[in-house]
Amino acid sequence: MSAVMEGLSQLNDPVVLLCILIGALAGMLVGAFPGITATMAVALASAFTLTMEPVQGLAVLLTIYVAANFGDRVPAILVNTPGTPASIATTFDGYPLARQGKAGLALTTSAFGAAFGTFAGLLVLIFAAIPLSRIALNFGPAEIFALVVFGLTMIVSVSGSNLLKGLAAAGFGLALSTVGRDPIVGTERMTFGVLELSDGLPFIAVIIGLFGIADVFDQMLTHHAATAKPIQSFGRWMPNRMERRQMLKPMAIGSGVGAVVGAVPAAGGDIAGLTAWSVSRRSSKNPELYGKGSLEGLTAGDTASNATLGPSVSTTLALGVPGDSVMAVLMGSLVIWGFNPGPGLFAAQPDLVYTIAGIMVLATVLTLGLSLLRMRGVTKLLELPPHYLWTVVIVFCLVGTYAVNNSTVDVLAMIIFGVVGLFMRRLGFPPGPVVLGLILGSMAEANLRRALEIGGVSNVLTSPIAVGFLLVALASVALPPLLRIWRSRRADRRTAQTINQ
Amino acid sequence: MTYDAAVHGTPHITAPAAETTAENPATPPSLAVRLAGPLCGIAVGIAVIALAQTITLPSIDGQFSPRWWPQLSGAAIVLFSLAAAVRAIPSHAPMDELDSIQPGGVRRIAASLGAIAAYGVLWHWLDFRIVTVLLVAGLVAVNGGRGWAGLVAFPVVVTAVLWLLFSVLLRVPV
Amino acid sequence: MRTTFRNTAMPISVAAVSLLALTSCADRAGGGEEAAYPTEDITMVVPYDAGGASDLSARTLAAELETELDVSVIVENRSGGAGSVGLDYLASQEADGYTLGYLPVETVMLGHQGYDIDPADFDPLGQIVSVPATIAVPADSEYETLDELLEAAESEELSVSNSGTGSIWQAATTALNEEAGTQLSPVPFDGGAPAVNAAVGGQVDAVVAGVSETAVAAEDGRLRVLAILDDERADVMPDVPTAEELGHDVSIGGWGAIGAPAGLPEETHEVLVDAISAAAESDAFVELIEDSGNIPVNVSPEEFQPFYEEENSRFESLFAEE
Repeated sequence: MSAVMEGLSQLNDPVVLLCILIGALAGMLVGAFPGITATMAVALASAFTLTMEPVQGLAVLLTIYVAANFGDRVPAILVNTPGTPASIATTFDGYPLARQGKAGLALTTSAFGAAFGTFAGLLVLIFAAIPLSRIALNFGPAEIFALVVFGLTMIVSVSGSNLLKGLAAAGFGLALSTVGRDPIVGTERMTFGVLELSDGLPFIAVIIGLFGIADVFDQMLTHHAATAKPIQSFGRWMPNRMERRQMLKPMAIGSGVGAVVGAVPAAGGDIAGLTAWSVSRRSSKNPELYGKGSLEGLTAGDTASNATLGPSVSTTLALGVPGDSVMAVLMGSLVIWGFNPGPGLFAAQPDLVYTIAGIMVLATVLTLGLSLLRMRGVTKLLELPPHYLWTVVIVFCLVGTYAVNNSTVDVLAMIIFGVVGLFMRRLGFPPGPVVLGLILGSMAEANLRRALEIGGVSNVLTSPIAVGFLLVALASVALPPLLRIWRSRRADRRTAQTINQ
Repeated sequence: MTYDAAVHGTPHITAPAAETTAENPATPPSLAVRLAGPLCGIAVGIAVIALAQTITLPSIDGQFSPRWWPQLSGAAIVLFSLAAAVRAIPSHAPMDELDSIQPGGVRRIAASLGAIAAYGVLWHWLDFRIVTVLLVAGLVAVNGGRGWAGLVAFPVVVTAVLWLLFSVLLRVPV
Repeated sequence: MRTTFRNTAMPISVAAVSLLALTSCADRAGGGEEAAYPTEDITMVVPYDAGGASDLSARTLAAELETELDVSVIVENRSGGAGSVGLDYLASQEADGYTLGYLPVETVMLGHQGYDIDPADFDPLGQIVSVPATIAVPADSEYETLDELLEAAESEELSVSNSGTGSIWQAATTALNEEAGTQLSPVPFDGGAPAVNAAVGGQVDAVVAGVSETAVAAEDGRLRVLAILDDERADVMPDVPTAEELGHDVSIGGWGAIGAPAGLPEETHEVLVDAISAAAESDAFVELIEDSGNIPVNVSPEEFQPFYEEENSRFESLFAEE
């Protein structure tokens, strides 16, 4: 236990606490800006923090990481634009809630869900870092491919009312994921000779286009001053007792999903949020509300995407493999501060885990407090007349997207996918599956081909983990319709019996 | 409030609500409207398959051709869109829930896109702060904002926030 | 139908606007020719994302250059196309000394991999970092030495992970094959760490990666580094022999230099070479590079130029045979 005390005593320093405060403010700000991701904020901040004491620098970077994952929910709920990819699932229910005049409730619920998820993930970091890292090490190309196939079965849930169009949209996402150099042989695919596309479509710009810009365009198209319902109130802020009880199950699901996804290298909050949302929907008593303003759906997604933070850190430290893109940047700083991520780290510096966990706990508490305070001001955004709101969303997305990579191509992609998203909406295709296909498509293809390159088909079929995931994927597609048939048959039989009696 | 007057003053918004669009739940949409989505899907899918054929193959054979995955996704689009088309043929087919298009809506989008395009071009000649003020004012005007608050004060404030955040705080060369 | 139209319209408008962006940015040059260089802020183009190893090296060097030259040196990340986006942008800039760039080894590779990059478009102003390639196997591998591994690879295909298709580490694998007549089959991953991890996890037979990437895992005993593909042994792993010592004449690896668009005025060239050399010697820079496990160097442009051209023709023949 002395490692615990030693680790936590590092935080007993006013400079470190100040660093946490600065990190929280900066993180929430960048998180709330569509286009600027936590990755970019941490990368830019690391240029400053390298010269600081390691604990102080870690305090800044980790707090930005935590806080950005709170801030990104605000634009997702208020204007349907995910602040970072981690809050894609937040838009599914958060935005409908805001349109129903429950923006206050949505923001509070989301903040509590996110805080709960972060704490759950930190428990994983503290207690399970080493065993988890052993499991993660077994995830080679074949296993990751199988996991991604399981992930692709979530298309069924995020398709909304029209499953066939959802599946077609997912196919479109898969096709988009092939833009760029082939992951194995390196030939150009569908880049039309555009240099910037050879690393693939700018993922974040495409997401902002499909969700945020497309929604602004849709509002422009359908806005009618006489019939438009201005949002008069944000409704209640605090969830009532019944709603609090409703949140428990999705919180549990979200924590579990987030912990597992977070531990897998390279899979982060975006995938976790989408997975938890659809898992929670399948096990819900009111699945029909999901996507139309379900507090359960909002809680599940937000809990899960934040529950990935702890396991991501733990994978990074224990394995030396970045748990997500923010961790990839953070690892650079860690190495320079003289912490060599890898199994040896826990033996050499056991107190570091507790210092990190302590920083993240403080950051979460502070950010939760800040987000409850600040949101009263932020919801005023919705009171703006539509032409101001539309303009703010468009201009901030334009400049934010440009700033990430100083790239005009990214901005163009965002606008083009805004128009594509508008057409999809008007033609009844849901945008969620496109994003799912885009995220998972390249992972699925690259890992499948890598696995075959290494050992052929038997490489996949001899891995128990891979086969297990493939079977689960099969079951999750085939079982629900089978169960439905079975249930309706049983119901028929019962009615038949009662009639006979 | 100035903006209220401005919004209600614009002609397209005070026009009587044209509720005769295809999405109106009262009248079932025509076959053409029901099939528009699936047909677009089929066209996109075929385009993807066609584009996949243009990918140059590597000289050495791998386990998988780089065309394989794009072709698979194109085929998936075509297949599911075809199924969606078949399902949409009966007139009692379930409809998508959509808000109806309002008069002036298309014009608003086109004008906004025009303003963004002009911004992209002008940015290379003028300072970021000037063009951004112009863009914000332009977008507000196009979407029905009038008066000095909307066309002067608001653009200046938005631009100032953006410039402070990106140029000063994040040191992004804009 | 409209969506299809948008899809095909995209590349055209993308191309048009990026062309516009590339050609119309030269509004800063001119004026101030009389005063001694430098009088204005300098931009340092890094062709990769912020936060990576190249970015950190460039940023640290930029900070040192600021004290040497007494003007601000602003790092600008222009990533994409395996680095070609940033290099292409650098080549299009005026050769006035106010736009510099970080030149990675890819500068001499991309031109032979289908990208429109010509090393002659740049004036190297000095090499600052070197990242020799290493070849390593899992700790429980049956191969104890490089010779055992290569011998096995003569009769059967062995999978060797690397950080990505077209990367210097994949080229190093090919170069090793060519030298030893083996069948090491390169398996590209998505980054250096996942490639090393695939070897640690035993999913592949071996990994070729930079010395900084294998050193940590080797220290923990998770990997066994069989050889370093460089002329000299590395300080971080003094016990690991060079390939040359083992009888295989392969020396290949990553490097980083600072460069400018070709055609710098002579005085500007001299000022920059001196400043870069001083910055590369600074404690802050040397410490950063050493801490990250790579090798800080300070090679003058006169010495570097022939190597730069040699590397260019080497990769030309290496990729021609693939």
